[in-house]
Amino acid sequence: MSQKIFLWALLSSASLTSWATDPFTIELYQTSCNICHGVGIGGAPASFDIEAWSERLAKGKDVLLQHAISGFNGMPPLGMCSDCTQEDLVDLIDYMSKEKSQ
Amino acid sequence: MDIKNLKLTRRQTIKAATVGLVASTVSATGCSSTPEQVSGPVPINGIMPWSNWSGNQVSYPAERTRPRNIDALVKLLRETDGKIRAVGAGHSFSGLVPTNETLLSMARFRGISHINSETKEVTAGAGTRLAALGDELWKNDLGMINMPDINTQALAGAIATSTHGTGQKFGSLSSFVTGLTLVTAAGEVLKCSATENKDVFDAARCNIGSLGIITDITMQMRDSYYLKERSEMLPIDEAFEKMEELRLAKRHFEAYGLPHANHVLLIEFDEVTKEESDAKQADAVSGDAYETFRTLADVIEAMPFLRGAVMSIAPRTVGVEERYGPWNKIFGNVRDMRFNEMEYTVPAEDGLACFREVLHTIKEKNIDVIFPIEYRYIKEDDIWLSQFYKRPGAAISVHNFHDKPYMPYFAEMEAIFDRYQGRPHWGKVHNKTEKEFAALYPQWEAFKELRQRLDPNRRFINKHLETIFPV
Repeated sequence: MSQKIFLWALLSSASLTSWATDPFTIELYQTSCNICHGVGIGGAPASFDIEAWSERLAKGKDVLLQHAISGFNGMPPLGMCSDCTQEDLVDLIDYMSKEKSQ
Repeated sequence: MDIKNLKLTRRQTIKAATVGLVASTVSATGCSSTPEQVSGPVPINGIMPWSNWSGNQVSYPAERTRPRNIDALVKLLRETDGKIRAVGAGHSFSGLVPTNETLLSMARFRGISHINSETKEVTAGAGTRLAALGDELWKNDLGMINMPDINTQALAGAIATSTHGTGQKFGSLSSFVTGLTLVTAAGEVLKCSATENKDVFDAARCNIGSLGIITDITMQMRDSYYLKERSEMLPIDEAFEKMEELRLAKRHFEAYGLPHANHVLLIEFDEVTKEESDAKQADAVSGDAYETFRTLADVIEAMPFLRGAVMSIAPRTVGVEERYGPWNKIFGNVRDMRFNEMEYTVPAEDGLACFREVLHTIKEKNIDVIFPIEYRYIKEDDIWLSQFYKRPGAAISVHNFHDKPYMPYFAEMEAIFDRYQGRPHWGKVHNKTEKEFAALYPQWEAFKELRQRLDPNRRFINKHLETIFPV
C-alpha cells in the first residue's frame, strides 16, 4: 500500500498538466463521480474547483486515496466506482482536483 | 419514481411534527457539525478492499482484472483456473460479488454496439450502466419498454438478477433480452437466443453470475416516449381500495407504505405526448425527502417515544405532485442516501394482503424503522430462475438506512414473505438456501445441470453461491 502511494506521488509530481487525461479515466469519472462531484452535492468538492480541492489535498494525497477506498462522510466506499482499481482512484482524484483538461 | 422526489420537505415535516424538542435535535445534527469519518473497510496487508454500495458486503480480492475485449477475456479464462467473480456497479445487497480471489470488471464493455432500426433491438456491452444506456437510447429516438427506479446498475448485473420496474403489463429487464453472448469457464464463446443455445438463453437471462461472463446483451426496445408521473398520499384504507383499480388502469403503478403511519403513497405513470410533456414539464425536483426520512430516523432514534406522533403527522403534509418528462428521466433516479434492502416477490393476487400484513406487523411488533416499504407489480416470464417465472408478481421491498441495524427487521419480514411463497430478489438480502429454492423454482434442477456443464470446476461459485449451489 505505502509503496503504491509513494509511486503515485512520484508519478503525480512528474506529470505535466499538458498531458492529456486518459479517456478511460474521463469515462470512469462520467459514470461514477460526476453524479456527486459534478456539482459538489452532499459536501463533495466540486470537480475542477481548485480552491475546494486544495483544502483536501492539504491533508495529503494518501489520505484522499484512503477516503476514496473506504468511503468518507456521504461518499460510499470506492466512491460509486465498485470496479475501480487503486490506480483508477488515483487517476480520478488527480483529474477532479485539477483544472478541467478536457 | 423516487421517494426523494416527494414534496415532503424537511421544513414542512419538522414544522408539521412541531415538537420543539424535535427541532432542537435536528439542528444539532446538521451537516456542518457532523464529524468527519471514514465509513468503510480499510486496506489489509496492502490489499485494497472491495465493498458494495451500501457497505454490507466486503472482500479483499487478491487480483483485479479488466479485459479490454472479448479476446482478452477468453484468453484470461483459458489461461487461468482460479475462482473469478464479475462486478458491475456493486449495487447488490446480497453476497453475489465478494471474492478473495479474482474480481473481474467489465468496464471496457460499455456502450451500444448495434441498433437494428427495423426491429428496434439494441445490443449493448455488459458493463453499460442503465443511466448511460437510457441517454444513448434517447439520442436515437428509442426507449426501454420499462426501467427500474435506480439506474446506476450495470446492464449485466441488472439482467443477472431479474431487476425490474413496475407495471403489470411489463416483465423485468431480463424479459426484454432477445440475445446475449456468454463466455464459459473454459473460455468457450456462446451466442444465445430463442433459436440458438436456447437452454442457456433461458437460464442466462437470470444467471446470478453463476454460468459464465456475459459480454453483450441484445434487448427489445421501442420508440421513445414521454411520461406523466402523479403521486398522492392517501389514508391507508382509502389507498388499499384504490390500488387494484390503479394496477389495471395505469401503465405503471407503485405504492410506498409508511411504517407506523396510517398513510400510503400511490404513484401512477402514464404515457403522454411530447406536447403535453413540454407544456407541463416541472422544474428541478427537490430531492429532499430521503434526507427528511433520515432526519426523522435520527430524531426517532434519540427520542423513540416520538415516533408515532412524527410518523402520523408528517405524511399529512404531502400534497399531490405531478412530473412530466422523457421516459428515462422520469423512471431513473440516483439514490444518494445509502440503505440496505430485502425484496420478495409474492403471487400478484396475494400482493395486497401481504403488503397489509407487512405494515401491520411493523406496527404490532413495534419494529424500529421508518423507511417506506415499496410495492410494485411485474408481469410473468419464462426465465428459469426469474422471480416471475410463470407467475405474475407483486414485489415488496423493505429497507433500512445503511448504518442502522437491518437483520432483525428483515427476518420478521422474511417470515411473512415465506407464508406467501415469496421468491427473494437475487441481488438483495435474503436467507434462502438451496432446499428452499428448489421448492420455489420448477426449473431448479435444469438450471443446476446446465450450470455444472458450463462451469464444472465451480470457478464462478463464491461463498454466497455455495449456499445456493452446494453441489
